[in-house]
Amino acid sequence: MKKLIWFTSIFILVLIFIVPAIMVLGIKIIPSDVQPPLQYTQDVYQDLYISQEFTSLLPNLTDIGMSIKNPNLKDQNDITLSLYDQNGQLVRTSKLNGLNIGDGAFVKFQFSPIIDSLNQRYSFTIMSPSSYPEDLFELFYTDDKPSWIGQMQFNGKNVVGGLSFVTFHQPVSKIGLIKSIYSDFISRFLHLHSQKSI
Amino acid sequence: MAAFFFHPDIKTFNYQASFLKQGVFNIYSYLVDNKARLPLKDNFVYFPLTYFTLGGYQAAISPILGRGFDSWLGNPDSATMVTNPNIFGYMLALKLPYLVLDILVAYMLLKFIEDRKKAQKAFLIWLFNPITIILIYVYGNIDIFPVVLTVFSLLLIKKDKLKSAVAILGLAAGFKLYPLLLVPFLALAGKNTKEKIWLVAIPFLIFGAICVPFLSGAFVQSALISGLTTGTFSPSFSVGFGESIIVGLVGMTVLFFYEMLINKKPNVLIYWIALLMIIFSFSHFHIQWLLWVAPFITIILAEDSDLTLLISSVSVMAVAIPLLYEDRFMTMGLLRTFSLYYDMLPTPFVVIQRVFDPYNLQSILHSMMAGGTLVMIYRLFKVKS
Repeated sequence: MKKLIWFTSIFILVLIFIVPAIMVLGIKIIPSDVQPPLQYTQDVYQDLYISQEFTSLLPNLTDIGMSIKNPNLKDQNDITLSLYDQNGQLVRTSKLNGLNIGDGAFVKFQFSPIIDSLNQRYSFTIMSPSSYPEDLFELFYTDDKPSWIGQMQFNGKNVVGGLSFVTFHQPVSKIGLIKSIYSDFISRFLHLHSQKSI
Repeated sequence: MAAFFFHPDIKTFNYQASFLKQGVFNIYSYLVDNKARLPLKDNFVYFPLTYFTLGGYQAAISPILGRGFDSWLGNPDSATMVTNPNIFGYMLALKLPYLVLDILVAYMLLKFIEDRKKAQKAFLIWLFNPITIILIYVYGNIDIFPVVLTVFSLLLIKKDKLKSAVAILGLAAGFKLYPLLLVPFLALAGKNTKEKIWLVAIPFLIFGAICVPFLSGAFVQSALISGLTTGTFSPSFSVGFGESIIVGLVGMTVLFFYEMLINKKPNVLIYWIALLMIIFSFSHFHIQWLLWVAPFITIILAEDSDLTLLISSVSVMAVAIPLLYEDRFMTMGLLRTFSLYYDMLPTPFVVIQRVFDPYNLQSILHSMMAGGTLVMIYRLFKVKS
């Protein structure tokens, strides 16, 4: 029975302290923030396109993820994201096909990492010139956007709000990621004790 | 464990139970009628005693946890619900009754077994095995409530208090329906027909009395015929013309008539284990259901160490099967209290999919589990006879 007690005690300690660290090794990309709320939608088809400015909060920018409506997989055309730097130079493009976009699905536009993206300003446009009004993509946007999401434009005209998107980045190092997860976890855990007076 | 691992179900059913503090009596109708304006839209799938027990406990602890607790319960945002720094305290508070009941089960196992050494062994196996710890404190479902009552019922059977034992099973069904499945095997232990009829009637009358005040379309749809309730009898194979043979019911019937006609001096514990293990072996089960049989298996493990390898293998397979379901909160989702970055990890289902069909792997494990279970049942009946 002593063996069982030792086994279970070690098993629990490993599950709490070691497993989360090991699992971090499998994390290939991390989000810079949580996705803002999905409040409204804007159509994208033919010459209707959306532009969005943002500041990258982390280095190694590699994906831009957003939710897209495509009821019954009706739009089976390509939807393209073009990423520009603050000088308006095209730096990356990424394409998805409607066949792979379920209705309301969260999808990621992937591209090769931009290593020095930390604190840099970018903008991207989303367009789908082959789509038609009867089979179009709809992108979610919101009034409740964080400060790193900048100006949004519909067909080049400034509009209020911002796309409900999130950027993804390759971690600089796995050890750094483990440190950041544990320090955040410990700071939240210790915060518990400061709540005792409430 | 209780503080660090978070399954969202515990927040959902505690959010629903929080309405008791506001004076809501019929939670089933309330949730259906107010669905449009409530932040969480789920129905209450458990039976009334779950609502009153959890709701009553919350009424006691809410003043200690502060006003933020109720807003956390009602928070539908999947990110901020786990990044809330108070989540560890909330988890501990919500799972504290589980610890009390967990220790109570261990104490009852100690009382159930006469041999002192074996009783101590059962006590330690129950408290110090990783499977029940994970089932109770990681997944954090409410199954420990009916489980503690079924173990109490077993203790009463041993003291030959059969009517009290079935009454307790009726009470346990007020949390979750499955204890009613155990009633027929206990009823056959009655000394005469009249007693046998009473032994069947008592738990159903108690269960009926618990449910009657809530009888409505909402109650029937949410709890009585919900997938959670009917799932135990869902697997079947067609015999044509719309008819099918329900595997779990076949097993239950075979066991019942075997007990009635062949095994004249039945050991209720063996029948309960056989029934529950047949259900798990031949149906798609939820991981927390394994807790139903865990105390009974603990008794067997303490009494018959020859079965250790077989029971350990079957248990590991039984736990592994649900971990392969396409459900993030069986595995990676549980780590979200540590960091939302774990959302970026694929589930075991997706990882296995890259090299092998995960459904096929589930089927292999489930078939092996069923095979091991059948041998275990054979062995239990053989030894006891």
